[in-house]
Amino acid sequence: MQKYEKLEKIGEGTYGTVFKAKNRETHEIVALKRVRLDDDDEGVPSSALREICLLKELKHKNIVRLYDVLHSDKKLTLVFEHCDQDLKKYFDSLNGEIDPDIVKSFMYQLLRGLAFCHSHNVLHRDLKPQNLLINKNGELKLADFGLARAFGIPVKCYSAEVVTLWYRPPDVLFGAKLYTTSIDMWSAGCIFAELANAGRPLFPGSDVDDQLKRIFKLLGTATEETWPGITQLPDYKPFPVYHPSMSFSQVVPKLNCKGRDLLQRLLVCNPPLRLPAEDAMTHPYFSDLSSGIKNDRCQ
Amino acid sequence: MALRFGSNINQTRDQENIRIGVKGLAVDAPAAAATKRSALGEIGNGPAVCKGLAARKVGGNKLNAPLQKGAEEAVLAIKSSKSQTPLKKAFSTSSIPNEVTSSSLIPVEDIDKDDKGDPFLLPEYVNDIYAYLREVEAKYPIKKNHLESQEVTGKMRSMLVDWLVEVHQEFHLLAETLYLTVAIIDRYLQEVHTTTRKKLQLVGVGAMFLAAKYEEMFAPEVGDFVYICANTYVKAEILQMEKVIVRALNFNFSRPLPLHFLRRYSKAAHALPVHHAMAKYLLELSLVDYDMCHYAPSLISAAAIYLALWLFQSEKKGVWTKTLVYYTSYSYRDIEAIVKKLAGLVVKAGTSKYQAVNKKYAQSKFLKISCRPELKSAAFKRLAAS
Repeated sequence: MQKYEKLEKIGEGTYGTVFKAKNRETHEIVALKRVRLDDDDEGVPSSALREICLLKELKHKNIVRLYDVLHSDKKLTLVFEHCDQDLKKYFDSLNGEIDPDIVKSFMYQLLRGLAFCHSHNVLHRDLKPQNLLINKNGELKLADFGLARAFGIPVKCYSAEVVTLWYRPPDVLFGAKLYTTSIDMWSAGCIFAELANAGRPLFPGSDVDDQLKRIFKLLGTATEETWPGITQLPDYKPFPVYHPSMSFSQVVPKLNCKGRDLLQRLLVCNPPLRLPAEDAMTHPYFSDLSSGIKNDRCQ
Repeated sequence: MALRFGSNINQTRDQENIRIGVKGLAVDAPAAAATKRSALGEIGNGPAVCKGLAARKVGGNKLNAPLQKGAEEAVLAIKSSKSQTPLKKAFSTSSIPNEVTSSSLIPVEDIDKDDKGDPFLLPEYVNDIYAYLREVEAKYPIKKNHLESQEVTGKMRSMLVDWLVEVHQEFHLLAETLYLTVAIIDRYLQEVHTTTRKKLQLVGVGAMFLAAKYEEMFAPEVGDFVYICANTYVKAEILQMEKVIVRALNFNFSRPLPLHFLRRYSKAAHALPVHHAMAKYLLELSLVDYDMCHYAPSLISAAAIYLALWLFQSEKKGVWTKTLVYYTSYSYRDIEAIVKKLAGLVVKAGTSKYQAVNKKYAQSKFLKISCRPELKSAAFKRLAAS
């Protein structure tokens, strides 16, 4: 790798090691994601194939930019724009306090990146704080498209093994293979609550059952009445009837009532009733968002 | 061999072993037979013979009937409004087709208006997405005569695609994977002019290997492709070809497929399963034909749905409604020549040496669409000859 000087290891993506590196000529700092290609293997992993292909077309301020792909016989190197940290690490630095304006700004940018993906027929399918990058200018970018895929209309069945447990929507937890943009909107809701609570995860379940139990304890157990078709899902099983014992003002005490309203429209068990990203962006919660962030248009 | 491909391929393999003794005997392969073939080097030398040599019969009973999809898809595609409401953006397209006389008073219909609450049809994004797909389509065109002055000829290409249609069925892959495979092959051949006849089949399997990884939930493994090529190539050669292709295409596989547009058009046409299946048959025939591969996916699928509607409509005027003009953005004049070419392909199909698509669509899961009497009518033949 002549062009770049490796500086340090940043982390592990879905399918490869990520390094911070410097372009020897321009001194620009980039992130390199390395994928090994072994001859006795299956060649380019489908996750890398999709990530490269999708990111080449998704050019937006709130989506991490893929600058280049370097291809040698033994490995594939993806060259990304470098961001200072991910949202998870940012949370760790907060000591439990977060400025409500930052919550609003990050949430808006998350929705804007997501609306761009969805209107360009791409599902992210793995939204979580670790996959949201932030830089010094307070910009937030969607990253790690290793589980993302392009969808057709009408959507077809896709894998049910998507989205990290804590951010996985109830339909997918019940094994739904037919899902759409609403899959990302649930995750966005979980991240919104986590932002508002300065990094405390909303539903930190230990397994699928525990995850669903936590969700139903907050939202009430979903039934055929509230969610027609739920009992037909592949892995459906009945849960005890929980009645919400905690109000949203207790769950996200620092979020104002408009914010709570938005959160409740995202955290809806029945997928078609979840608010789409574009609609969420026009929610009154964002009406006092600084115009600098709002007008900061794409590209 | 991956178990998930189930007993079908294993069964094929067993059959293969049993039948080693009859190697060289031409066996009449059923529609979805395992169609192993050695190098395409044989292609130029007598395809009929080569095919007979390679094609072997497999156990006739398919255990997993994979493609209810065809019909389901059609049903989903037409799950739309029956009422007619004008779009807010009134029909203002300047291209007035010359065939709307009978329907000129009927306004353009908002075909998504009843989809609120059906998230699988994405009513809030559908128009943005199709506008975007048109942009991407224009970015990666296939030129007319892209094989000019190459060793690979249009005939070799047809033979390759014809075989891949069979492989695609054998592996039970999604329709998207077949279209993407052919799109990758054409874009690759357009970029790399030095492909030899001997390497063409390798390009074909490399393209399908990639397309399956991109589209499928469970893609076949590289070993499955070694097998389907009758060990003509080793794993390392296919993996190497994969690298060569992704490099040549610079990892751009997002070009939309005719199928993506067809689903939209079928909805706009309130197409019945029989229309949708016919349009898919026409599109797959066109995949095999070298003279059709430069047409933009949105354009050729508009021609295909037109012809499919025309075939089953007794009153031949008024097929191309304002709603179809609006959602395809093509006037009848834009598609007329392609409609006739598609009809010509059907007329030729009976005697063509490339029979994979015809056989595939003669199956009941595809509504035996390639055997429809409408395709033999005098009016249809006149259209094809005009």
